[in-house]
Amino acid sequence: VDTLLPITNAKVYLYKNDNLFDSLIQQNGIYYRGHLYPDMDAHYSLKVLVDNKLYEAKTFVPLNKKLDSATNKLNAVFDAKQNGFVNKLEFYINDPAERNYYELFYGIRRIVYTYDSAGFLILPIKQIVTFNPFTIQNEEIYVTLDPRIADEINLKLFPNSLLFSDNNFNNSQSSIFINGGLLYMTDTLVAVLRNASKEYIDYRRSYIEHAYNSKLHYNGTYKTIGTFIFPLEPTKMYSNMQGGALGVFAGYSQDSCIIKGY
Amino acid sequence: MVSKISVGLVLLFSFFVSTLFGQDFKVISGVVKDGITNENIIDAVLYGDSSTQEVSTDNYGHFIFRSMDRPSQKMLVTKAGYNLMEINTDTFSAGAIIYLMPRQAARSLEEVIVRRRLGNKTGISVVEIPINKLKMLPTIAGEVDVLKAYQLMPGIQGGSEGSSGLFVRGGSPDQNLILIDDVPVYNISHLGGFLSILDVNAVNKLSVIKGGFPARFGGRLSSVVDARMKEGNAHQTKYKFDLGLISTKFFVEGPLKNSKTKYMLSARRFNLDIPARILSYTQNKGQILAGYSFYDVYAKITHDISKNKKLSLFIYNGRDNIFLFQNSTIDNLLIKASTKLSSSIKWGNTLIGLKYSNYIKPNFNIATTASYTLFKYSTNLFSSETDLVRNVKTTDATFRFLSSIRDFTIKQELNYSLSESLQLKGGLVFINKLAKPSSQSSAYRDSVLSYDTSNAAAHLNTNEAIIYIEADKQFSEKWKLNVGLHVNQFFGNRFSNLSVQPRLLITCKPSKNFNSNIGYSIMSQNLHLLTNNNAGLPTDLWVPATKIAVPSICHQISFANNYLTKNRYFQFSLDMYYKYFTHLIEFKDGVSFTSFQSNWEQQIETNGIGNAYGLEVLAEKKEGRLSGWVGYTLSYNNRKFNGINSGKVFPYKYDRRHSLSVVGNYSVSDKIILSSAFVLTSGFAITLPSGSYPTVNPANNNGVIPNGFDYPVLGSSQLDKTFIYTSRNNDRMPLYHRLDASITFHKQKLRGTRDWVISFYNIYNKQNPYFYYFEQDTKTQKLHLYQLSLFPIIPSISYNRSF
Repeated sequence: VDTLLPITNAKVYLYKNDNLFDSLIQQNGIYYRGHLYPDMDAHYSLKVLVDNKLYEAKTFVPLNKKLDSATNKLNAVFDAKQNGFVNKLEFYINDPAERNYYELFYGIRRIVYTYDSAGFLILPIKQIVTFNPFTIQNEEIYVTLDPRIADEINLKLFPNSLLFSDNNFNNSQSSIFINGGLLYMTDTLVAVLRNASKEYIDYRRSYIEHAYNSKLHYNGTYKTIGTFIFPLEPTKMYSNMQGGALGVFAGYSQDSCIIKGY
Repeated sequence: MVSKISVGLVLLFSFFVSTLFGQDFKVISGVVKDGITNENIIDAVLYGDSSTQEVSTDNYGHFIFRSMDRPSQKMLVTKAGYNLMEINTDTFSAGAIIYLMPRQAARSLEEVIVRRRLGNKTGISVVEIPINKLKMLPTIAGEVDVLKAYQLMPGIQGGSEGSSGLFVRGGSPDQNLILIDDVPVYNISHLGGFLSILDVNAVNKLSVIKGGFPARFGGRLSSVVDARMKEGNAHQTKYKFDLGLISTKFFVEGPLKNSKTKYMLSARRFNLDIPARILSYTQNKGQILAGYSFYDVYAKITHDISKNKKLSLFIYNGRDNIFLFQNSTIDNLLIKASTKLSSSIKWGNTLIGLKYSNYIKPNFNIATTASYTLFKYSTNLFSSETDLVRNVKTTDATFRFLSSIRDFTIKQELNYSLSESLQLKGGLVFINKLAKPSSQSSAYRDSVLSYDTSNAAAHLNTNEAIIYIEADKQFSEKWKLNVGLHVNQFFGNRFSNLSVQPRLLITCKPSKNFNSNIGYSIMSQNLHLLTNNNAGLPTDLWVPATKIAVPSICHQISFANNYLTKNRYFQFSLDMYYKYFTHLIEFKDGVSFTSFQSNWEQQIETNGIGNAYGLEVLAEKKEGRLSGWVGYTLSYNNRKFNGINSGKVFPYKYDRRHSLSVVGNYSVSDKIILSSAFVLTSGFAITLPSGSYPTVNPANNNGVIPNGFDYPVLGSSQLDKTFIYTSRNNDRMPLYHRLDASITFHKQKLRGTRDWVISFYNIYNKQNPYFYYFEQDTKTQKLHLYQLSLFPIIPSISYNRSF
């Protein structure tokens, strides 16, 4: 599969609320980068001029929905027999009246003890971070989601985040929960919530499907017998570029918090 | 439209009745039976030596023959695998029994003459391979697969390599009505399609109807696979034992108490899990055991209540099982425990059919069938951990997924020969169907996480009431007409649908050796299969028609010509067909059965249309030391959905432009038979990217990561390239070809026979693609496309013994 060669002679402009905001500069012969951070609650458009042909895309950067560790909590039920906690992560959203889209990353920092053949602890103790615990196939059955968002999420596509809208809790103060599997005493959780534009959500959904359906096995994630015997139809990646180009221009804002339940 | 068709049919029936009288014929009727086993013979052919008239026995072995009312008329009776019998109609009494002797039991010089007098059965687009010929075809790892043999005929194709699914004239496997002794079957495949559930030992006759469907069949769009099982030997008990590479089979048949009651029992078991179990115990003391197994059991008992009344009970049960057991121990400073993991995926069919048939008069019979069919798929997972210090169970979790579909069917058939040239068939059918596409339950020690959706899951209960009428009219020696109407009222699930399906078949037989047929039929299907790959996997979900996913419809027009050479050694066929599908469904782009979480109707594209057309040629050498056939199919197969491929027409996944099969059997002597089959087909249509561009993973940016979480990636990096797909099925897999061969050493023993069969599947080890995937070269970072091939050369040996 041939990869398209990068274009280096393009003029790339960023507009905020129809006013020129930034001019992107070509770097490393591959990327065009801007200088400024976009503001929230603003409309942006991207205009790309190549050989007198104009390509254009529009998006919106929504307001940030603050994730507050004081109000977001981890309800954990300690299961002595399983030697750990069964966690229930609850986070609060003060959802505005208009249609909103969210993306939640949810990670666990875990201390891992390893032992030698004689049973002695090996130092140093390792710390690993798993940012998508709901995609670990063996634990899939442990993950349950709030029914208000469950319909929008297919864990079997190995998503690395949860994408959902406020379809079922629009214009209300809501707490959304995830039962994310077994936690250990020393685990710490991090949650990142993105308040996203429609373009961003469409792109991320398409991204997850595209990755799954492209039958890419090279990173090991998909090398399961299931991908061999259940081949799917590949899906096109979402693109909101107008004028004949492919690509995505999408805005979001985000906040994060650390939750310690114990 | 419907009323016009109905009026037309009434006029036709009136016309038939008006032509009943005033002809100079003599009518004779009777039963044709096997001279050894006393079993009624289905589809035995009867024809006059000086006329083109030809009839065949029905599913109960009965026939009605019309002979010119002149002295010394002869009637010839035959069936593939049997000797020809010649009967003088002057001496034939009504209701008499004709016994045909199987050829292997009566090898004589006469056989040479017999071979030259084989009949030419009329029909359109009906494929039937006699079971004795089918057994001579090359085996797959020692196993003769009935459906795979049919994939060698024009118009019938297999799916992916190894699949025993049938793709008939552009249809998908769910569009085949598969009947075993009139009981419908949902999943015909073992082992992901490598073998079918039809055990060749138990099958008496199997035919596949590709077009020109008689009105008695309905419910599926593309084909009817009609399998009739053996009833059993009425004279003596016979045994058969087969030991092959992948399965062991046992077959027994015989009379019970007297020859009025007979039985048949056939059992088959997969072999290869046995060495896996032995290896597991020898290598790791049974701590890890993984494997696959299946079994089939067929049983049939038939009781002749009287000469004309018969009662039979047929039962089938089969299960496939993929299993994993794992026992381990944890022993460290913190814990000393033993863990157990047990996981299995099971699927299978259960069929029960009870049938009563009664020939009230020689020209009037009724048959009542009550049947039950169940297909069930389940995933089970059990995990537990026991603290060995405290001796208590610390973990105990179970997970279960269930999917099933079940039918209760009551069928009443009536067959009436109104005159020697007009037969009427009619029937009433009632079907109750219960589909449970998906229910899950899990139980943990912690009740917060336990759930059970089996009560809340969709129980889709639907009913169908069917009435059909069919008339078979012989106008003259040359012209014959089969016309019928199949009416289906579907209701349930807050949806109802009336479907009126006219059927028409006109046969012209200008000479003894040539016939030409044209047929038109409408078929409707009230059931959809949600599948991604049509590989016959048990995870495919059956769902009934609903308001959104309305019943699919197929119109088919077919034209067939058959020519049998004068010496009756060769037969040539040329078929053409055009099919138009409406109301098809397909998963939306990127959706799979794994997405099936809540409302499946939102996951599908509906109102799809499609067409399939093609030409099929078959040249067959029916008799002689060298027999076999050459079949060729040219076909086109397209689909169109508003939401797929930007609403443009695309080739269906199983669109194969050319398909060629060459099959040959050569009898070196009575003891040695060589057999081979060569297949050459165009590759499947496949969607491949035309290019790619780099992707910036939005999870991979330098966002706000809290202190202490300086891990650079939010989630694993899944994709750094985006593929550009131009259209659905824009490319083709390479040409598929394969040669199978076998040699059979046959020996007649004092009691029964003994066969050694040495066979080679894919003899020149062609690596045919089953599946494509990408992998990135870690050094060059370039993406490469790789193919996965399933079956290399598979040599095998099997031993068959009957006594």
